[in-house]
Amino acid sequence: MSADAAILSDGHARTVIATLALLGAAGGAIGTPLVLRRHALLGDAVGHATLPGLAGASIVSISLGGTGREPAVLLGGAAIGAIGGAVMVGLVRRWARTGADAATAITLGTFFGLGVVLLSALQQLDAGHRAGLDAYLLGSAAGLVRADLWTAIAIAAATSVLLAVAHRDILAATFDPTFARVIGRPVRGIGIAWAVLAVTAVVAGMQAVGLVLVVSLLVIPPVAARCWTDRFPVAVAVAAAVGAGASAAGAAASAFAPRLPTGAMVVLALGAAFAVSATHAALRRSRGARA
Amino acid sequence: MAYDRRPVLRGVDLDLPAGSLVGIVGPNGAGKSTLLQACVGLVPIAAGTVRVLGTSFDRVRASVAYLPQRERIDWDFPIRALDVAAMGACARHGRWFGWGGRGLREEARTALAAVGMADLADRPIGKLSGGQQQRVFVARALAQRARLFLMDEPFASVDAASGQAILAALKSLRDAGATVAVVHHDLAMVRDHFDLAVRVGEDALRIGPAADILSSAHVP
Amino acid sequence: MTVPAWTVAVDGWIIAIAALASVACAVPGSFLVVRRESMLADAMSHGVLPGLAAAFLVTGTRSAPAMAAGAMLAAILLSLGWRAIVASCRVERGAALGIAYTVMFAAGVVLVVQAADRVDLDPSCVLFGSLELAPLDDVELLGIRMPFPALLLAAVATSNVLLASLLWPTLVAESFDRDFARVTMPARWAAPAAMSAMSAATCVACFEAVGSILVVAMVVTPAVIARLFTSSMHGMVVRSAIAGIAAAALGHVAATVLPGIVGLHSAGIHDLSTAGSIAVTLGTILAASVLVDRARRRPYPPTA
Repeated sequence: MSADAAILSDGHARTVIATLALLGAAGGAIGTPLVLRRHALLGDAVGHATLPGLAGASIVSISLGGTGREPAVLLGGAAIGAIGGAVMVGLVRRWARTGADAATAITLGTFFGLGVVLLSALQQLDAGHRAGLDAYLLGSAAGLVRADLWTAIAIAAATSVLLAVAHRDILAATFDPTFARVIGRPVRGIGIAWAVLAVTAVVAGMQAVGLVLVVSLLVIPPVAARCWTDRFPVAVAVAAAVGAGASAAGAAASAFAPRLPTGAMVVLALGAAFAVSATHAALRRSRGARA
Repeated sequence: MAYDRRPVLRGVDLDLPAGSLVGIVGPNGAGKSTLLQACVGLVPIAAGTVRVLGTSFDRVRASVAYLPQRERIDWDFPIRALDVAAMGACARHGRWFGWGGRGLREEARTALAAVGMADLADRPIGKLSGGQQQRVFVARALAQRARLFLMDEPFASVDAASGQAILAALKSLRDAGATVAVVHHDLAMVRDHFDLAVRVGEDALRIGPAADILSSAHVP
Repeated sequence: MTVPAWTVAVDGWIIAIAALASVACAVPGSFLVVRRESMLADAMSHGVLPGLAAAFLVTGTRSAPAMAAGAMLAAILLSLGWRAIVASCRVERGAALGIAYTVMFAAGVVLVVQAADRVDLDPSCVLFGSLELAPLDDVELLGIRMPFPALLLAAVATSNVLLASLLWPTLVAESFDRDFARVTMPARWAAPAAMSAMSAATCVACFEAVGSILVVAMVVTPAVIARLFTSSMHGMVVRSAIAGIAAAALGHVAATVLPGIVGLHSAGIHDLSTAGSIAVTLGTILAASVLVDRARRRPYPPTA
């Protein structure tokens, strides 16, 4: 049996690849309206906002007598942080009369700063504890278990269902929310549902890919998809496909080279997919101009 | 000129005389904006040449005032009407570096007065009405003291008073010898007030006296 | 309540370094915010990682000037790559930035793992930095001992102010109306180039002092606070420097004093991260400013 086949038949590696493929697909689909709404880097703020949640949850657990490393507790904290980040971006944008980019940057900086403060407290509570949280910073596929695969399946399923049921409303809300609201479509509800999906994808993705790089799952596939098509439903599908393919490739590559972090390999694979797409688009344009 | 694969404008053979007020009309998507953008080098040209004021555009940059459609401006930008108009004076003198600029600001005030915006000079751009904002941009073009003015829908979404002020400013430019080419949707105004009209159609341009070009169109 | 052991030498320099960082960030921060390019600061703080790793790999040490040089190169590469992506695809700038910096960060992680055999390096330290340790990095200039980050930040702050003064009309015009600049200005590459250079230099210099992620808070938040209180560009630059300096002082005081006040000494917590505290203080000042601004804009009740 060749080495490749040996690795792929390893149950854990299969779980990792499948989980990342599903998360990549979901991320690509979820990210497409965000990128089209010019709010691509929301995932960045949400990812960094998980840090105070992680550190805070760890502190709470320790002060209640726990180890401070229980995955369920940490992920719960991460989710709370992520939701807080998503909410704060919206609030800052509205109340500080500023653009999406500044709101994202402010949220990112403030929440991460809070996270660093809490980390410094955590380190003094229990020396050397930060090592546990480092896995969430850059991701660690080694920690993925069956439960994560089920989570990824659930997220992918929820995204597919929402798209299938409400795709016209999603399209309208993406391109002309004012019009959609005026004719009575539930733009607000869709926005909230989509934000929930994005937050869930970020929290699920950060375990494998790390909170710094998780935003790439939401940003790179949609941009690559735009190089292939102009139509929204096709773009969503292509983004999902690119996300799935690149994530699986990255996960497989990091299975072959266990020293290289999964998150980095996934992002490099996504980057390669983007480079191919951009080249295709450039060639198509230059061929067209010569016609 | 072409966007992606499809050429937008074909068979452009256009010669605009000096000292004339030219209206560029045509249906939506015909390529009126593209025509202007090609003249100032914002859009690549698939074939042919553009000669501006007898030479290539690069040489006469400061003598051409281009006023694009207003979509890409951030109205929350912390800037006053006076400062916007002063940019035109900067362009005229080529003074893009360094501090100071009282002379530039004086020229800007004069330009603002020409469009009736003198007393609103110190107002932040975001606190002006749409018509007033547009007048400020026209003032910027005036301050440039250009010989060629290319304006893309300067009358769009502008109230009547601002429209009158802008038209008066354009006419005074024409009288001073400049060439003013304006993309416009109000065919009646073009017929009644402009010298020439350029009709951008499906695959050709027609140029002639405004009254002639527009007699065949539906003009109320 | 125990009074923390303050020393002018250490705590004074900590606040001074943070204050210098605020002054350095005022110009690029204000312009990035009005140009809607705030995320460039975040992108640069991530994108410098391959530069740092390359510096480690090449020099085999962790010397600060080598790291700064490597970071600077990476930041410039990021700027160029980002603009190339925007030019090559019809994609908005935020998404293009996201691609550029995540790919660079991933490459940096791979390099760091390679370098970890030869140099003691932890990727997460890149993200956090340590303002408290900054005063220990002394250099000597004209007979005065000062921390290297302070010197670097003072140099960057000075050069930012000089560059902005020289290029002020260009920067304002190009930031406000890019099409006008493209058509009218002879040196229309000057403003984007200056922005990239200032942002890169500032991010790299601040990174040495406060850690890369917190650079984002110090670049963007003061500018947004300033915008609420002025409607001119130079007013914004001045006020953002003031806001940053205030947050630097308050943040460090809070980090050292708060654990005592809240009674955390018994749990073994004596002081908190100053850099993080400054970021949170900036967020708090922003919240307060927003409230003041909303109160100011509320219309007067109509007279009966």
